[in-house]
Amino acid sequence: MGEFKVHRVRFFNYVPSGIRCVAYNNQSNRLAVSRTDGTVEIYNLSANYFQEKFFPGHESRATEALCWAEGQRLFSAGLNGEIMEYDLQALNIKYAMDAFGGPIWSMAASPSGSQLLVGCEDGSVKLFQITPDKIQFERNFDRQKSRILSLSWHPSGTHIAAGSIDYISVFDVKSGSAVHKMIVDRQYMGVSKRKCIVWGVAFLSDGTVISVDSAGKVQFWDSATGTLVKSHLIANADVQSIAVADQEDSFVVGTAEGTVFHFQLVPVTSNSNEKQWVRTKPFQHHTHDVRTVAHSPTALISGGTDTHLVIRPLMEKVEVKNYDAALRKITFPHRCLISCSKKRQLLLFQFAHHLELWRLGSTVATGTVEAMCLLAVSPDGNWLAASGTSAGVHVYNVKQLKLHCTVPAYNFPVTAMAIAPNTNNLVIAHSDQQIFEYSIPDKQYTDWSRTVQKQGFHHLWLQRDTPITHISFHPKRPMHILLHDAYMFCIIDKSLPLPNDKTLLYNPFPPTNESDVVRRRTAHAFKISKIYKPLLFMDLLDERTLVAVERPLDDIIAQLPPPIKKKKFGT
Amino acid sequence: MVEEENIRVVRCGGSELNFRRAVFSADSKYIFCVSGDFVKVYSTVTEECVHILHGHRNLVTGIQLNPNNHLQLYSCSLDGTIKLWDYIDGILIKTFIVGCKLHALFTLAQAEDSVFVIVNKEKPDIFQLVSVKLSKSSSQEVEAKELSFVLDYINQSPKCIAFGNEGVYVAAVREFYLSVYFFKKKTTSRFTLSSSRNKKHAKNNFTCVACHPTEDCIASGHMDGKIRLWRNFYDDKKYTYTCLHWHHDMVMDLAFSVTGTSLLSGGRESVLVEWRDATEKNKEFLPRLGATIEHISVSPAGDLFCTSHSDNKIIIIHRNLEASAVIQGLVKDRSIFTGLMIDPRTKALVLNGKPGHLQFYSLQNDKQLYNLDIIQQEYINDYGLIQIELTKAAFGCFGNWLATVEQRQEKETELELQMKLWMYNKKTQGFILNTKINMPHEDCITALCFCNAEKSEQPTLVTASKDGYFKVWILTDDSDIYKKAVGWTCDFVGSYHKYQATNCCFSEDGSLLAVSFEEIVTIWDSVTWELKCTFCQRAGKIRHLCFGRLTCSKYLLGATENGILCCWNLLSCALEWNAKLNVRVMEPDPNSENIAAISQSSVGSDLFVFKPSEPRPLYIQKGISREEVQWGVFVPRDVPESFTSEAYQWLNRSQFYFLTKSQSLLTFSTKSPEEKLTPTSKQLLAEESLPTTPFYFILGKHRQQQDEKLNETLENELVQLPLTENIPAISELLHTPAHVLPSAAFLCSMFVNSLLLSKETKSAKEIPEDVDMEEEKESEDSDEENDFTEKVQDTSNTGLGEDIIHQLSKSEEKELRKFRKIDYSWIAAL
Repeated sequence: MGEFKVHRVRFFNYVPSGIRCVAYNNQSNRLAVSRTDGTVEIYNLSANYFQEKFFPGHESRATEALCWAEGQRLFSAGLNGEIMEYDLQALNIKYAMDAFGGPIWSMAASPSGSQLLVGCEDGSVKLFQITPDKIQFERNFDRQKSRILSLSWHPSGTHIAAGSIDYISVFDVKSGSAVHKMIVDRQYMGVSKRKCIVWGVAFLSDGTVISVDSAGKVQFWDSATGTLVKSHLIANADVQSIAVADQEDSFVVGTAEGTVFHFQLVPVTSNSNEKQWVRTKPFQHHTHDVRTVAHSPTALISGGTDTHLVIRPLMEKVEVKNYDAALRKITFPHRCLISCSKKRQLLLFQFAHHLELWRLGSTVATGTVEAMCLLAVSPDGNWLAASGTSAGVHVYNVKQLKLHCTVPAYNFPVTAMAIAPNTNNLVIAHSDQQIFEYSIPDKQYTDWSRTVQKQGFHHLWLQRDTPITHISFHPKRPMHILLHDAYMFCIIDKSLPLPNDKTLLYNPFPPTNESDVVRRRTAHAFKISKIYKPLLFMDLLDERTLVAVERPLDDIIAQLPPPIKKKKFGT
Repeated sequence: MVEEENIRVVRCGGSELNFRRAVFSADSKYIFCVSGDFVKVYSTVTEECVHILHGHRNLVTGIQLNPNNHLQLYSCSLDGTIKLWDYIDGILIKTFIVGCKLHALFTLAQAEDSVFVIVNKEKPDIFQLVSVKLSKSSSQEVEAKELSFVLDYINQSPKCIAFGNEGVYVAAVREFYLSVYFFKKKTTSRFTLSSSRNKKHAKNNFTCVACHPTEDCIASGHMDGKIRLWRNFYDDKKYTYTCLHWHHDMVMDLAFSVTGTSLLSGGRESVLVEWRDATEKNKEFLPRLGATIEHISVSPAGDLFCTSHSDNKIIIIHRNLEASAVIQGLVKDRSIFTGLMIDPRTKALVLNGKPGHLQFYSLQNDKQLYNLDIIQQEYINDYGLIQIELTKAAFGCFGNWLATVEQRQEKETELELQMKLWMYNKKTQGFILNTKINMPHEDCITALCFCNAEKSEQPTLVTASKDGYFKVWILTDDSDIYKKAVGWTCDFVGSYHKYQATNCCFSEDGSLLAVSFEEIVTIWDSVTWELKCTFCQRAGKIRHLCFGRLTCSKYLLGATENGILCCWNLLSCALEWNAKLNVRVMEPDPNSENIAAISQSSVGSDLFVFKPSEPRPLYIQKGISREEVQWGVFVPRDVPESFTSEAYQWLNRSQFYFLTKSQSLLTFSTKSPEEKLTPTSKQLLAEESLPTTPFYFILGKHRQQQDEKLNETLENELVQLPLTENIPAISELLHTPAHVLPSAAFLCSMFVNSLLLSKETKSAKEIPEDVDMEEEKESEDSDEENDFTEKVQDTSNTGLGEDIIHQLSKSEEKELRKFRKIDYSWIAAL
């Protein structure tokens, strides 16, 4: 394979923003994630958790609440007091509407999806009607004394629960008046004497209201009588989020200590119908506050200040043990934030609100500029490949400015593509880790691509959980394709045989002192290096020089606010 | 005159009380625990042993209350029998012969005529849980061969089996498995924990299991200190568990409270943890229980818990987590360095106890009297930590002085050595530290002995050490202007050619001191500390050294490592005789010339009793123990026996106890075991109804004595019993057919009332006299109690009338009990 001089770049000072809200849409199996800087990302859980869409945010539009309504419409609300709807086709903000209640802390769509409820700083709960192209204010509920931090609809849509400071109110939707006011104990076993903030409520169909609060309690209330039924003290710090499964047989809460607790409804005895809520498993995948949780039918999803989106599958719900059954931690965006100018030795870093241009040390430069992302230009400038959010890839002839051909549609979104110099082969990587090579002049897949599809990829290759974000080519070796994801860098040598499931995929480069026979026997097409991680970008500057941009997680954590100190036994 | 049977080696108490979970009686008045081949019944209030149930011929491995009759107790044993006892009277009701070794016993209220036992039938390591059908035949010994198999391949320990939710299922754990067998469905669910989850030290092994009494919830304890609560275990896939983690080391036992609202756990931290509502944040602790918690049990009434500890102790704990009583047996947790000693005052056996303590153990009552903290430092329980060990101890001057040596050696060159001298204080009835000597020697102390001669004017102590010196310590005046005091100082340092001093010993009259230096024995004059003579046999290092006593005081005995026993004559300074004997233990009897030597061979240990004056042994018993005997001691008898046979005469004035390597305390007895082990204190039964409060000590005694007096008078009256026939209540009772009579409880009050009226005037006269007499007696006894007795007088004078009526009803009840017995004879006569 040869040796390279490597520019190991660690000065890309990229810090992802903390996750504020997640909203799961059951119909499309998509997950909307909003971050503290107002960014909203859409993940397609069916397509290997690929980050499909992305709305850049702004500090002034920080979201506090995010919800899906009327099927596939996405709304957000924030401290600027506006409700926004996103256009998922055009990838822009459709409209923003002021609720006139001060900062909005909470929002919930009705079970039918036709109404939207927001809770405001001034203690008002406002009901909006969702019309096909807008939302329309309908009425105010009884105004409360302090801000409404959490809202939940009864599944029948007749009542709502609203969590405020020190109490929970239950409203009748028809009359708009508060039916019950349930006072939350500020202090539980002497934990806290400050105000008790009800961070989250959930209304179950049997009338139970579950609340989570800043004293570390998860409490069960009977909304018919307004009484406390059961209380679980689970943390010494705030419990900040709650999400209930659709079947209402389990729910998940997230705490400021970074722990996510799973609660399940289990029968008390095998021969009785009586059931009780039991705290089952704690998961500690976060270091900082878990600001938000979601419960998909097969997984618990959590996100927080430490910027990770964690998807923890529920083993008992997973039918087949495939890569859906593995824990996923998504930290970096699934797109390339870095471009490199080979000729000028420049690196361009993309931040949320600015760009940085860095000059590398002097080397002799050859090659061309390549644009990446979902557009790919052939080095000779004749061809342009474009992929939208729908899976198809179109190839345009730039000279004639017309569509040349369309690559056959594939179910999974494209994560990266590039056109090889000289041969004008288009290499496409999909979110299910498949790689295709398509000959633009011949308008068909190349022979190599067909053999790969026939034989299939190595199972370990398919089990990787980060998408390929960048593809490039070696200027002197046309048989080589260079690609990388966040955890590995790979050179595919098309001249060598493909690995089958029995061979070692991640074999280290064989030591040079081995005999040629051994080297030839163990060699296969995939040469993988895991030296650099997490790897955000890697490209060839020239045939002997590589540039690698890393972003160590420790550097990100160092820039985050410190987590809650917990005493660790034995320290 | 004692009937002379063969001398047998018998266990004499000190057996493990913590071998299995203790069991409470239904009313929480008694607690039962296994103890070797016996079951002991203790009162939970007084801590006294009320009964010893003996009948099993091997180790008792399980006890359970009879679920159908809570006044009966089942026990099972390695001898293959299940026995049913009436524990209140200590009577064996029935024996069920199963025929194979039984390792644990479980009962279920739902399974009326069967119990569950753990057996191993085929291979030695494979244990099975089987249910045994107990036939209802009335004979004393019944065969119970009807076994039905429940679970295979289970752990031997009963802690790894638990029956749940009124016998719907049984949970068993072993290594990394939890198996749940459902009796109705006849299915087994099995759950496996990964053995080494991704971390190197993940220790997931199951250690114990407990089932919730009302809900379907199984709690399991683990090696790494976690407790898992399993639910929804009907389904192999939907099962779920939650973790509770506080213990940093293995969870030794778990128990749910009777209502299931809290879970108790314990382990090596010696802390009882109560998890309320099974939540991690809501827990209570009872710390500083002294030793590893081995078992936890809960009383059926729910008011008491009890924990069994590795130092052979049972602590009874109230529901509010307050320890209320401690039942302490012989501590056998650790190795014995000090050997066996007898405290000359209490005649208690003294040896290493808890870490850093000396324990005083009463051989008569099989009970620890008290612990003396020698090291007086916090004991840090951790593996691999080198602790300070109490290595030597000796009593001197008739129990007035106690010398102890403690050492800690982390490396070859870093020895920490400390000698402490303790004085007996009559006022506090205990030992008080008098002198502390840091580094009395440069190397380990091998022996220390007091000069116990009666005429010696000054207490003298000799220590011998590996550094080649022996030192003589004497008690001197240490007074200053502030206080009068005494202290110990070094008086003389002796050595012999830089050899290591290995043993030291004073002659009986204290005039001579013998110190052995490896192979050489030196004799020193104890007045001038001059070297008088040396003996050298070149037969290996001297292991034991002792002077003969009484008529044999001119002899000195030495046992060497090469297996030679030498006897030197001190008058002729020559070897009198020697014998080839690999002596492990050599102990002189303080009351006679006899010396007991225990030799060790590959087959076992043999006992030789001889007089130094003649090389022929008085008595030989071969094979007293299969293992190595480590220590022995003669204990003077309170009442001398009178064996006439020559072979047994050595047991007349003293009894010989010895301790084997596995720490079983054994002795020689000629009596049958039943005779020997009958409880010495039957009267304890009477105490059970009276709690021992301070008031009890003031008033209880009077009451008892009053009761006794009353009983006497009542007995006199009982002679006139036929008169009672005239009472209508009794005649009615006797003439009505039994099947139409109301309940006995109803009749009882009527019956008692009928008796009360006739005797009120008579007894009222007698009692005040008694009280006065008692008070006179009491006032003579001690000055301190005077205050109390006066108060008693006051109260008895003022509230006399009421008091007497109360007294009467009580005494009448007693009479009634006797009455009942007479009733039967009556009916027979009619």
